[in-house]
Amino acid sequence: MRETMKTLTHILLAAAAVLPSATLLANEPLPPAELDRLLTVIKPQSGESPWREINWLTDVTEARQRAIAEDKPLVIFTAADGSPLGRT
Amino acid sequence: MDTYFRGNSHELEFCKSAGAGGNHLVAVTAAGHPIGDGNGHRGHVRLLEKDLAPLLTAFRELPDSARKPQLPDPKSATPAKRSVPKAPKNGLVVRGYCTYLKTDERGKAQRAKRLYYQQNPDAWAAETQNDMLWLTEAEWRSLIPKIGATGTEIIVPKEIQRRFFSTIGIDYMEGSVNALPLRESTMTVTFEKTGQLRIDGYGKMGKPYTDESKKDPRTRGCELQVNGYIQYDPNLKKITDFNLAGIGEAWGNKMEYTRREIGIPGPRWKYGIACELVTGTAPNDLIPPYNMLHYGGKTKYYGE
Repeated sequence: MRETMKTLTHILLAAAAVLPSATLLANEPLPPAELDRLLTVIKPQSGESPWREINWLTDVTEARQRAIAEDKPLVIFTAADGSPLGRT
Repeated sequence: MDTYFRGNSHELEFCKSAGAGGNHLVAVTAAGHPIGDGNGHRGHVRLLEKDLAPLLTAFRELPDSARKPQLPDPKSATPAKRSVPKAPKNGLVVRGYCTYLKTDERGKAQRAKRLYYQQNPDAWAAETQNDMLWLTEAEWRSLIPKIGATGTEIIVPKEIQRRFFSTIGIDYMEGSVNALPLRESTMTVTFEKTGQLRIDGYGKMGKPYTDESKKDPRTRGCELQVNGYIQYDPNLKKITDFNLAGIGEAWGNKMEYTRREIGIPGPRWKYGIACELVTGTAPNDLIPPYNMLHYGGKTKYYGE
């Protein structure tokens, strides 16, 4: 009985891991080398977004204090509906 | 800075004085006064040396009192109306990236760089977008098989699947897009060897693809296949790496309130998703997930 339950559990788990309807994509696991290549292809490319290389501050008071301490102006990067450092 | 989170009363006042709101950059003094005459095009600057160098010169010509103003005592400020959400304690923070892809002559996915807004008067090149995924401690621990035997497989809890596929598993190249409802998905974690777990998944989000998907409003949908690895240190009992990549196809009108076209031949387009673990505490690492915020959709981020 216990073995039957175990087998049944495995069958249920396997069934739950498979999509019941057809897929548009091949849905075949990527080999490790292709996975690494894709990660490189998808992540930001060198020189693509120079603004990412800036250590932006998100605390306004801290930024003002640092500007005064370092005698520098501020560049404020704003976005409506989202952080400019995220998606917006 | 997100315009909705400009901070306490002092910070808000400063931002208003600086004209810091909307989608742009401004250069100001610490007092919030714009620098230079007009501060560039329409009062805004670009991150270009030719724009910034004259502003720096103008700043240096200001008197000490303008460059180093006395700031008000922070204790006298009224607290912010909205506070920026913080990641869950001992939670898992993952940064996701999204970009357009195309298939090369060998059938391999490559970047597609010139797909964005080609038919829009404000056409600009595609730029990788990024967003965050937050999991609670209990959630990420549920990804670790309790039995360390090769081939042991667990099904990722449905709420994690929903959050992953609906928020950072969609095509969000247009930035401000709501989460798409998850129609169907599968995601498993398989124990490969000590410290290494494989993760595989497939999600169907938004509206199913039909012939009307390209021309009708409110037809956004996509499918995404993901594969990757989680590195788990059993001694430290923590995830030390999280690398996930996915290839998807998307369709439909992207914004629900407008009908912008992105100039892609054919009814569907490819996009890619990449994920990495975030362990730092720099401001850039603490940005909340877009769909957690009040304007990012109606679905509760952590589910019901």
